[in-house]
Amino acid sequence: MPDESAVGGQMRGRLKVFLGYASGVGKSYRMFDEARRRKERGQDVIIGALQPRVPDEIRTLVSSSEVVPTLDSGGVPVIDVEAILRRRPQVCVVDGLAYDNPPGSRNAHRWQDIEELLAAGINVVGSVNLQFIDDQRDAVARITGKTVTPTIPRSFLNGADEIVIVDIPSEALSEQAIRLREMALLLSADVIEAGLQRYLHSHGIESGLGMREKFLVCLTPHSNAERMIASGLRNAGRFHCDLLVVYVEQSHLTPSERTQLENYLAQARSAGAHVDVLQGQDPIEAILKYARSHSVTQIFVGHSLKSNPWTRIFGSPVNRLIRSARDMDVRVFPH
Amino acid sequence: MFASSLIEIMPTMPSVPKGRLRIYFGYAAGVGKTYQMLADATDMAKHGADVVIGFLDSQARDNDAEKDLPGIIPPLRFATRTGTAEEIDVEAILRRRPKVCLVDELAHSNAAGSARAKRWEDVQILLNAGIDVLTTMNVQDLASLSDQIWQITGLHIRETVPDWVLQQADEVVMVDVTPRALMHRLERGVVHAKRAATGTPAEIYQEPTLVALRELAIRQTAQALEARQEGRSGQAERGAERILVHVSANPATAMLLRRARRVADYLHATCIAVCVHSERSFSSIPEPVRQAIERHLQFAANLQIETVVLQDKNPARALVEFGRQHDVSQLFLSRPAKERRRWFAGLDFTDRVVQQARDLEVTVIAEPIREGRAPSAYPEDEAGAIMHSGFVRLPPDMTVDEAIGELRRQAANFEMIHYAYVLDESQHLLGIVSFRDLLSAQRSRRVREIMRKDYLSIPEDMDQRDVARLLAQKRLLAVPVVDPGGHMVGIVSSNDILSMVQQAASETIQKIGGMEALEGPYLSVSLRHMVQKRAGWLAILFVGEMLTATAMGYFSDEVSRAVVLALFLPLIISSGGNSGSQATTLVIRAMAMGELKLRDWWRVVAREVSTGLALGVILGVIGISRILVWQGVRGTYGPHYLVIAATIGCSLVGVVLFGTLSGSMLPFVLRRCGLDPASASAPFVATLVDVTGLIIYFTVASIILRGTVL
Repeated sequence: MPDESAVGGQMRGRLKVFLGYASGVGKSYRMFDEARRRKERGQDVIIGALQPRVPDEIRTLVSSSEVVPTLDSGGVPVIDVEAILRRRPQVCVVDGLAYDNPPGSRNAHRWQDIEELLAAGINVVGSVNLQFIDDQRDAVARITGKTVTPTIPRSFLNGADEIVIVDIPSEALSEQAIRLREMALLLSADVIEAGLQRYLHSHGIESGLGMREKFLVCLTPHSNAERMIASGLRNAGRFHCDLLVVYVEQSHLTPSERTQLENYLAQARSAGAHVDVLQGQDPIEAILKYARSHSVTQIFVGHSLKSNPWTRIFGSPVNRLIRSARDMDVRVFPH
Repeated sequence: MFASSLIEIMPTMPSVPKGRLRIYFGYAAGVGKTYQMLADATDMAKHGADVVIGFLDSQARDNDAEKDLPGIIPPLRFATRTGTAEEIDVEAILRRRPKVCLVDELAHSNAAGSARAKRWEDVQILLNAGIDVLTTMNVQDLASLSDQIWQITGLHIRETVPDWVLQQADEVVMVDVTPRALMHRLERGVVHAKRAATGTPAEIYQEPTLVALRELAIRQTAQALEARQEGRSGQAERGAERILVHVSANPATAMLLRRARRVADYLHATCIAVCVHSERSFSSIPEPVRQAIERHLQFAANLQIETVVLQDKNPARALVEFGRQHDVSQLFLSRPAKERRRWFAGLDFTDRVVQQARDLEVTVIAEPIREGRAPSAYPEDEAGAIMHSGFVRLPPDMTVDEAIGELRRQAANFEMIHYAYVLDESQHLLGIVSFRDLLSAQRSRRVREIMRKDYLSIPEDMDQRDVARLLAQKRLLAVPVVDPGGHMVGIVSSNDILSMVQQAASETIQKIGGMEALEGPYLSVSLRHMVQKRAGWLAILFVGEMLTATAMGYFSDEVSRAVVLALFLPLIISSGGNSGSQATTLVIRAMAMGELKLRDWWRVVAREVSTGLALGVILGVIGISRILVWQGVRGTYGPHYLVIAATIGCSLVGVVLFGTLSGSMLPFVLRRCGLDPASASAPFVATLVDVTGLIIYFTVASIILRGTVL
């Protein structure tokens, strides 16, 4: 995505990330191959960091490139930010984004060094493996049984201008690797989505291009909340997306209704849903406004089975919601 | 017990193919799918596998000519209107029986005359014969995604592959480059040739569009991976959940089916599509409606959704009941009509289902919107829906002589041969020649030299009514339909429009007559249905007319004092009603023809004031003359006949003026309120004017006759 946000009067550099889901899929090779091609096209490329052990095939690739050596601080390689800033290349290649710098370094983490380079207008091409992303680490550990310590925050990855999944056909892969591959695909889809939303936002385009499902459960004290939350969680799980749960504040609740509702909301929160309480005269308007601003694709609402002559002729609030929410699916749960 | 009859259930499970299918999956032409596939195939061949190329476009063949490609099974050649088309020779491949066969472009539609309509069907044959197939496709070729694709790109993708084909793939390889890299390739000209060869429209090559497509492709790959994984480990609990999709003639049904298919795939649910009608039998559903339903049922079957047709007087209840009996957990419906509900019409179908579904969840599907427009899922209201592809094509470099020969050859195939369309090799419309042009041109000239370039063409999504208007205004027999890339996709002829207009016209006429549109031909509609449709309006009008009694009561003093006034009462109020109906009919017609827009109301007022005055004066003069003549002959009206004549004259002017004004404004008011102006039916205007006409008449009378008769 073209990102024209200028920092300090200077264009921010572009971050391109090669994402791998296991070692040995060849992400470093792919990255250095790209560095070589960029160099051939006349870009000023330097290498800011190499992995401690450089395989032969990569050694030949990087042999013709300029390397700004890492500082060795107690056995940990640290990017020489100062030297790179002085050198001012167009592109800096960093093999391995997830490193913790030793105490006393300029920054605590390597990704913060990268931020500095980007802010100075230097484009960075880097590589990282799935298990080093902070919100993926535990899930990967559950599959592989291995936990890693240094991580990079998801928000840093979401800021990437380009992401490349380095993939190999899965026929040869173990079941474990296939699951990691799926995680990497979904992660990169989410990073792309974040970039897309950023682009749309900076260009003043009203959503509508979101490729990701998002479910919103609207609770009232009387709704069949357990079923709605369970169904919402199940759907969000299957579609690999977030679940939002809201309640529109109503003044006329009895204390027991209020406790009931608090229980539901707590339940949703502990199940990993994002919970909000909305204010608004007209609950339907409040829900729609919230849903639109959060790019929701499906709204879950409860619908009372008690009907009276009025609703039989003129329709209930649910009918009104269905009519107004043209751009979202509305799923009605009877109670 | 419940009275719905099950007509047919069409099970649609595919047989499990024996060959293995590997799909190279990408998000746009130019990402390198074919390249990757060829590289892998060459590798396989090197390792001793028996690999052949079943189909590869000539572009890719030329590019990789120096490479060590596997053997090619020569494609079948079909003579088409623009030259020759090459299609995969399934028979030859089956005879050759390779281990692995390469087939590029899975989404391709075969040329007319091929054994199967789609290339993916050819591939099924190969797989069933135990041959492994490597093939390529883009995310936008996936049938269930076409609404999202439309939202991203604004393009209606015509060549699609059903989702189950992708799901059945043993392997999906995502061929990925970043959009930026793809744009670089485009700038360097690498992509262009590929794009042109595959007919991918240029519009999609914009970064945000590519980014969105890429994200979709990645998610799809992840989903395919997960589905296969679960299939392998036996976790797929298909049948655990059932989704029921309501099939109707509503054009949004196609979108509904796609969405349901997609959700069902994600949730591992099964899908069943149900159509409920209230006619005596499926075949007695009136024509355009039945066709639409049949098309939607066919579409459901293509997406491997089981279809059921039910017959019941109460479709909403029948649908819910069917769901209950078949353990359905979710009911998928399309949105209620956009038009604001008329309160007396009661709740519409969607609302009724929501209220009936006591133990079922109901999901009402979104209608994606792009730049303020809703999509045309099955574009019923767009030019694309009524066009057909039976038109005469000519290459630009043909001579007139050859062209005439070509026309003679093609003439038998086509109904509409007044124009021939000049297309280049990639189906771009270059110009149009009429038969007259051809016959009157020199035989040795080229088609290119005599064709007209100042032709009129229409986009696929043009509203049918606008097309009708255009054809009428320009007096055209047919107009070419062109997609955003300038490719000609079909023609709309005046015949196509005629049948569409006839249907629309009968709906409008029935509404003007003060009833809801009948759902069938006049003679075959049941008596009960006929009465139902008509009674509601009549009752409302009747209650309205009761106001005249109230008004009369108010003026009972005047009537009792001057009985002569009562003599003219029917004359006065029916003149008002007549003039009002006349004005309404004229305005509705002008609106329907697009001559009048909402903002023209004041021009109508200006015209109707003078017209109303003139008409009132004319009727007034006739009325006065009659009084004078009768008075002269028989002395019917007594000594005050002059004031009575003046009363009648003035009242007529007032009533007729009011009638024309209210009659002409009512359609505007209704349209402003979002209602169909055609429902401003003439009887409604008449009722309105009757009551007010009465008041005008007696008010005028009480002013003029005070002190004389009264």
